[in-house]
Amino acid sequence: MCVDYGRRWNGVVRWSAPAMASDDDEVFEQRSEVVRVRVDPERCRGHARCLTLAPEAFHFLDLDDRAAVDDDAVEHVEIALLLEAEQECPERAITVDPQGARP
Amino acid sequence: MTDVESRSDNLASQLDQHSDHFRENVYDIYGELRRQCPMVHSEKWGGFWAFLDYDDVYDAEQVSEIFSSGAGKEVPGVPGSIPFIPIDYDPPLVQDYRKIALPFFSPGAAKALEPTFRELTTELIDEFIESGEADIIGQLTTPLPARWILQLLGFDESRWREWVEWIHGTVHELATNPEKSAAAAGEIYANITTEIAKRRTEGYGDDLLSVLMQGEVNGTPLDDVQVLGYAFLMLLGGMDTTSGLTGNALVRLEEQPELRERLIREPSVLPKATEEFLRHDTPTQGLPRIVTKDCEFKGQQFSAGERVLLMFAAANRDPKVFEDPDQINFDRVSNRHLAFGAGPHRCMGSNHARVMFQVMMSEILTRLPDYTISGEIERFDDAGSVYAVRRLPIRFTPGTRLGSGSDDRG
Repeated sequence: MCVDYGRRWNGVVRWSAPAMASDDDEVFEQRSEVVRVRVDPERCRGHARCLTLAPEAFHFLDLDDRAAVDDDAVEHVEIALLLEAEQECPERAITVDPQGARP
Repeated sequence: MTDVESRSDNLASQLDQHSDHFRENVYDIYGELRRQCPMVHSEKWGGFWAFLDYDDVYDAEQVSEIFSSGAGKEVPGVPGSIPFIPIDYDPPLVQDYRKIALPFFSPGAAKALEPTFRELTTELIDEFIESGEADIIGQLTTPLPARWILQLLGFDESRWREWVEWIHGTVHELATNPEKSAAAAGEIYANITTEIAKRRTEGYGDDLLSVLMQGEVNGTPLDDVQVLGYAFLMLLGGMDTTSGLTGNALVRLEEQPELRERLIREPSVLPKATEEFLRHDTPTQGLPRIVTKDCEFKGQQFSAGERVLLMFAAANRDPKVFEDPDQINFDRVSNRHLAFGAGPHRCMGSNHARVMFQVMMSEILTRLPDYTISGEIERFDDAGSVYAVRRLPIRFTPGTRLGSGSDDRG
């Protein structure tokens, strides 16, 4: 799919944090969070490490020699894999911001 | 000056990446030089710098306006050679010229070839599996990448032995026997020229050479010298380094049986192991740049025309970046190694190298998991360009053939 690089962030993931116990240990709250994923098109040099680590979250633009975030698919990807892609990128082109959607 | 300082100064000024001493002590040399100064200057080969630290190598890769890939960067110089394309160009040309071949080298293209690589690997292992012994370099890790790159270019892959000999001659004899190296390069030029002429008379195919011949940048077609330089580089990249990585890794699995056991027990760790072998046993030790102008870079003065080796293998053992850098750790977190370089010159064949390495390793560990090294580990004399095993005799419990060849033999 095509990604709009004009936006500051080009991937949004929603995931649910583990159910949190409340004070009285009876009521559980399902906390919903949003994480934002971005591949900086200027920094990415097409090492493709992210495609190995989180193949569902990224795709490759062959003729541009770089990776991009799959906006639709990324929300189904485990946050741990996204963070791994971020920390293994040799060009530090990937940003995963778990706080991204908060005001 | 203390004895230690003078000895270290001497070590730096006498650094010769093409020497026997370097090959035998490469990581000790990096370690000792780094402790003294991570940017060292050698008086050998007419004088050159070597960058050893991760940050220096990475950052220099990003500033081609200072550290150029243009003519005159080689240590030692290569008289009368033509530019290799796209590696000898700076941005933006390097990207423009890469574009022509990129579809052949994408991660998707590499993945699609996995069954082909596996089939060829099976066939190659079939040839020696019943005998219980092999030179795994000569019989598997060399022919697989070599035959693939010849196929890709649309050349006769049955002649892989000749091509490999010429490429090895060009790369590994460059410093020690420049005449032999030039003669080998001459064979390559002549044979690519013949292939170009053949396409001109018989028409183009869907091979990479045909694509290069029809390629253009900013509306200008590549001339024959550019096509020659491009095809030459593809052969150079394809024939030496992947085999080097695999050979280096196979030696490590012999030295550290627990690594082999883990890979056999837990095949899913192979992708991470691949990155760790790339970091720890980097085949391409470094690549040269030439300084474009008098300038200061990270506090060090450089003059226009000075040559700098960006030592990827040394950067990959930088203790400031990698914890216990001399240990192989498949579970290493944040393994941003520079085995394929970084920046605009990131190795084009990296995706294929990974897939071929993984296919070869998994087939070896499935079909000859108990291999032991049964003779001398013979390395290429000159480790300065590519640190690689030339011959690796192994023994293993004989197995049975798997490919269609076994049916033919009845």
